[in-house]
Amino acid sequence: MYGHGLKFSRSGYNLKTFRASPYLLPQFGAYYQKFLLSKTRDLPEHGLVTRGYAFDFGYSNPNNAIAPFQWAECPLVIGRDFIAWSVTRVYSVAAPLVLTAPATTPHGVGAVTSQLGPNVSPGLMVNFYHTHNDVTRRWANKNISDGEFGGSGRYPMLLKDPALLPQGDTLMCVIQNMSNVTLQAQYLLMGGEFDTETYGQEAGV
Amino acid sequence: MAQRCSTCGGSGLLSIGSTATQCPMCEGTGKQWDPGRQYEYEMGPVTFNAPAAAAATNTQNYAGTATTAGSLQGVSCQIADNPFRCMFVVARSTFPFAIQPSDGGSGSGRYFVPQQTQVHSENFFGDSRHPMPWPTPYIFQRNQNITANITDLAGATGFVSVTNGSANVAWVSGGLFNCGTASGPPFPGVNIWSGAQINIGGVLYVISSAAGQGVQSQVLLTLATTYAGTTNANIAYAVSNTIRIGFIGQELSNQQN
Repeated sequence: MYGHGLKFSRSGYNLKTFRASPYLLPQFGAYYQKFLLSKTRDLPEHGLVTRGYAFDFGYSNPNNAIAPFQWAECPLVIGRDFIAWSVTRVYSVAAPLVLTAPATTPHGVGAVTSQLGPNVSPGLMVNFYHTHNDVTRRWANKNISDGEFGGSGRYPMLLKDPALLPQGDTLMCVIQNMSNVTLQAQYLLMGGEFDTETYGQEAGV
Repeated sequence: MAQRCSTCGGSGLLSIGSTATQCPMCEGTGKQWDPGRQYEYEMGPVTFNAPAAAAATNTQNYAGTATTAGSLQGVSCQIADNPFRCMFVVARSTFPFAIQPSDGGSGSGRYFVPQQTQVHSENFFGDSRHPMPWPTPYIFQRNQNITANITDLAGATGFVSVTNGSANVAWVSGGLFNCGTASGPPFPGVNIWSGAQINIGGVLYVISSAAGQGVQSQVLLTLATTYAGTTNANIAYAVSNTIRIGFIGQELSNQQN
């Protein structure tokens, strides 16, 4: 992206130009990329293969939904050297997707009523624990809210300094449910992994 | 084989004065940069929790597929005669869904997320104005498939009881009514079925979005209008999720890779 990126300048003065990637131009425009994107380049344009690590709490496996006011953790072992580039997250009130008969007949007592409008903000608190060579480092000094960490597919939160997660390390996502409803949540780290044995150095070119 | 970079001659390095530096045109790869031509592949539309199963009208991208189930394995979209460099992913669907995409052409299939996990659509896809970028473009080889395991997160099918002239719909069997909310953050406070279409006995109705109406519980909902068909104590219903997934990028020349 760096080599083929676009160059911008607000003043027109040549020394104040800065490169901006065509990526995320719709979301953040040219100027704000200066603050959001990595300083010199987005990512190596070759050697990386697209990869995401999803920390799932109930969407992929409904049994992992988080009970009211409880917390849960999801550790993942990094399979290959991985650079995390963006963070996205989503959550919602858990609803039964399958289909066991309720305790009583229609209209009867015991059926789960609609769990609307928990009206809690934030809905969850999150932290990441990165373990490397038996040393664990948190990504935040305390559990922080969903509004302070993570974006969406439309507006991903970019890591100004992409995080390198070496092969064999463990990254654990810890989520605390802040509402009185069963919560489904998922955090996704998108980036690339160095898969030179399968793809060679030129993958992704 | 890709052509050699015309700037550095394939070495990946340029001599500037007495030093060698990485070629800025190919970034050291030695391969000629192929800008490609704008192209978009769409996977689907695939309908989950459909009232009736239907075979795809175009099997190469599952277009028109409908299933009464809530998930499908190996939904595919075939790359045409040129390699495709995917740079952005977008999606449009009735409700959220979970997906596990993979490159069906790379041996046993390369998964882009851990194999035991499906990713929520809100995490993975953007829309046309705000597409989700893939930080490192991924090249799907020609005539290969992009494949995906997909699970609907909100729809349902089953049987209900309805009365002519009444807006009430009572669950009888099968999928319970969805009491969940749409996805956040923040909590939207709106039932995910509010205002959605429901197929009752082959006729489409709208679930009420009025305050205090709509999905009341797992076994009772109200329609925006009254039920106009014949009273039936056991009639099929379906709240379906139609999913379209777009892969935006460039179609490369055949010499690439």
